[in-house]
Amino acid sequence: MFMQQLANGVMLGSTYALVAIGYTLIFGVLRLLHLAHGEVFMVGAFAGLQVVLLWHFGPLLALIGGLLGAAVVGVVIELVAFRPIRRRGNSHLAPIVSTIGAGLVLQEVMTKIFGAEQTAFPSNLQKQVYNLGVVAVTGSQLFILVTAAASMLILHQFVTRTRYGMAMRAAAENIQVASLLGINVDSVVLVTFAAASALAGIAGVLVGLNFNAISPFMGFDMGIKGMAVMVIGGLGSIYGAMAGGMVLGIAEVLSVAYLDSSLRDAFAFGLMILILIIRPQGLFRTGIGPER
Amino acid sequence: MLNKTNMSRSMLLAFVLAAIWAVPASADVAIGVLIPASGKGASYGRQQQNAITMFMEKYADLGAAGKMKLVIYDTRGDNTEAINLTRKLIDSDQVDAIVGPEFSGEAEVAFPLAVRGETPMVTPMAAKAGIAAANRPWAFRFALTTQNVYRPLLDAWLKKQAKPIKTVVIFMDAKDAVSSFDGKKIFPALLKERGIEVLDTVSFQTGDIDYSAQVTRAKALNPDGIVVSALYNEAAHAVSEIRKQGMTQPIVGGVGINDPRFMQIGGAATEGVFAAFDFYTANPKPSVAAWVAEYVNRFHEKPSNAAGEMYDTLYLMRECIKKTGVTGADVKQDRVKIRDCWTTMKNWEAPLTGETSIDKDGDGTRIPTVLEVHDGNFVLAH
Amino acid sequence: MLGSYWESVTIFMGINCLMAVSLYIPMSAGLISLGQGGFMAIGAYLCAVLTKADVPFLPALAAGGCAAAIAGAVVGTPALRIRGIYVMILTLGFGEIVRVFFANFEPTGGASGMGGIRPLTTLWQVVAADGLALLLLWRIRHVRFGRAMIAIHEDDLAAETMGINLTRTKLLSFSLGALIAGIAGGFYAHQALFIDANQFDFSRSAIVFLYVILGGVANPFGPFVGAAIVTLLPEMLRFVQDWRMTVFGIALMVMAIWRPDGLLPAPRLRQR
Repeated sequence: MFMQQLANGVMLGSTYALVAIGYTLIFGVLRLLHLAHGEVFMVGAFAGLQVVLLWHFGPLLALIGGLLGAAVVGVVIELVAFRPIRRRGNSHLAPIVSTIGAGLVLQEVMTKIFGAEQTAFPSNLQKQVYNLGVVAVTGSQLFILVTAAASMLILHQFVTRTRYGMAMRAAAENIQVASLLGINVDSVVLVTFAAASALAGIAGVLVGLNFNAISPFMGFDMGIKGMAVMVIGGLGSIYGAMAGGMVLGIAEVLSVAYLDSSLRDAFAFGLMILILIIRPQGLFRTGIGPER
Repeated sequence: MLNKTNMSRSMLLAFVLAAIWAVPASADVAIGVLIPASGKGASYGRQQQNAITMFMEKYADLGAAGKMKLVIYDTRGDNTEAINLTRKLIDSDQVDAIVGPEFSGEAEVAFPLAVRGETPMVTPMAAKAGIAAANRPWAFRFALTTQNVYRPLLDAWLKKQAKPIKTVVIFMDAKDAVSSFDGKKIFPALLKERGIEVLDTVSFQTGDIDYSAQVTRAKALNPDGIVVSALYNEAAHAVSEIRKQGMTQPIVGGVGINDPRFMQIGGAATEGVFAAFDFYTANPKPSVAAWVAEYVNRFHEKPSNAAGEMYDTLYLMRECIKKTGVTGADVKQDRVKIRDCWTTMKNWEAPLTGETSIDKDGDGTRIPTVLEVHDGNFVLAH
Repeated sequence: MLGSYWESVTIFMGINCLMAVSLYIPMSAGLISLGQGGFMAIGAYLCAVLTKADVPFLPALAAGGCAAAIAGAVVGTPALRIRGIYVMILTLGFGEIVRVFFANFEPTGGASGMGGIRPLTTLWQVVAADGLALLLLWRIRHVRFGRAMIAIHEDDLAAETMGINLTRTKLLSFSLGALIAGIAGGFYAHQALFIDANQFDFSRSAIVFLYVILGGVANPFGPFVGAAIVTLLPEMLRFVQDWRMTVFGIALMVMAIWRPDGLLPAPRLRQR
């Protein structure tokens, strides 16, 4: 059972990782917590659902639909909720307030359109079961793993090899210096938001495909878990987010497997708090420590 | 100018006015209704509202006693709202009785107010055990206690199996009060009575989407059968995952799954799941079938338990009004009469759920029908 | 006096005001807590357990508050050395852990909750508590502790240089806030007569945050105004009922741009 549970944990962890990477990208560049990121994840899931419902397309196109939908919403949030605040100087509260507001609006609008309960996500992927030795995975679980890995790989290439990627890293280092060096900070921020939101959208569609259920409230839970992963992995570190996601996914699954499953959430947060106390900068060292 | 004519005219006027005043106006009988029309549980609220609409069209008229008037408030599924609105119904609106609230949590906070305000309160659906009992004599529950549902259910389920069931794993929603109570106390006790061993109780939480860890854990134990005590949504996902991981054991479900969406969400995985309810849409009885057909026609969705039980509760409330002859004139007395009526209710025929009685704890008793899922519908188990 | 309905609405609003105050205090020192629901739960459960054992209401309230305050100190300690965002996440995690604890702790009912609580809360008690809280907020700015909090909020490095003991001030503000939340929890339990873990979950903590943000983080009347608006608005505007959250969300976004510090401005410091 252990190996199977491990596999379950990796699947779950991949979705956490995708969402956490988005958080960390935005935090890295803007030093701001995007508290509506979970809702962007949720919008991506619904966008993917619409693609499937309206045009009866398969999972791949659902992914693209989700990715695009989420990216659009993410960019809109940047323009409406973040940019005006950045222009007006630094209130440390303002971005938090603004993104919470954006999250609330998204949640309620989606509830009005799609209803408050979970909606089924039609998919044929789940039927196939592949037996790899001691572990059995379904088609959709494999799809998650492959898609998540591919996304992270693409992101890695983007960040290290392309001009935009390098501009993003420069802005993450020091945004003022970056702008002095001629980098168009505004467009870098837009690209960052688009990329982060796209990843969240992919995660949303993956969750929908695998668990066959999405709801306007799923963003909230995922948002919190994503933040926890960010803390575990280290704020601002992409690799930390990936590793942290896996750690959290596996830890949660193992806690359900061997302990009382109603303690699952407490376990996740307990782990996060433990790391905050023992190693506040997260598992991976980044330039951005939590200390003052 | 005060003269004889004026004086007699004024006296006549005064007389007439007094006469008009003295005759009690044909009073409406006001009944309060609490439903979760928005917020969490809005879908239950919507179903209940539909049932209310159908009921009022047919039964609002009480004949000589006037009309039945419903004062409907939206609790938003929030305990605080339930408290405030119950008080409003009792004190400001002066209702004769209250139907609602929907959720067990709301009932927990509203029932004590009904006791203090000496107003009979009947919840159509709140399933948590013991709330009515703790709030005697004013609180009632139309729905069955889960214990009374599960006894015949388990007996039928066990009897049907080709291979006898000696061990089970219980899946339960630890966050939902009713499901967790059933999963922790009611089911294990009944199973033990029948000599069945509970190998493990695996829990998840309302709103969970990932059940892979739980199912893997259960799979390793290889039980003969599976019990799922959860609401329709979580139960559907759990059952899906169970079948997905290749577990073929027979499954029996708790009262939470009585909703057409259990089959919609769970799909083919729900085939063969056993459950017992008193209201089900495939009921062949002509009056029920006609009601269901009308509901589907008007509202373009299948009625769920929420709609059925609201309709019947209102029906029985109206029966009480007619039998006790309350007119809405003396609210305090009316409340006592209605309370006594519910307390002594025995074998009254409710249109959709059949013969109903109220037991000494204030809970409904009825003979539930044992059903199983076949082709996306709950049908009579055979 | 007030009809039963409005009395109940006012009592709950008064409790919400207390909760807003409980967050306002640590936020004045720059500590943003998203876990006030957890402290409220601790106060509520302990107070209810004590009154069931025939302890009189006031001592039971105090005990609940103290237990919450101790929890506040425990949670506040790791919060001392980490930056604002982490404090938010830490307190969020704390709130969740408290919720899971009470949802599983059978002696206080577990997932079934605790009922049969005696109806001891009265309107005057809550009004008095709110009055005291307002007085506290008003006077605290003139006391060393209060000025220390504001100094830390402005710039804690400078504050430290000036001799302010960061640790003590922050810890104290956190505990004080927790104490008030615990007392509010006790009032809540004895008004609702039934509590379960879900009454104190993250949405509780989040809405308390909303009260403070809306009302203003630098004005002692702020928490009261914020709590009143958020509580009463749905009552008065039933037609926006359906879109309540959207209205709040947009209000927040607009405020973040134009008045990030809330509706009420900081009161002018008197010129000496």
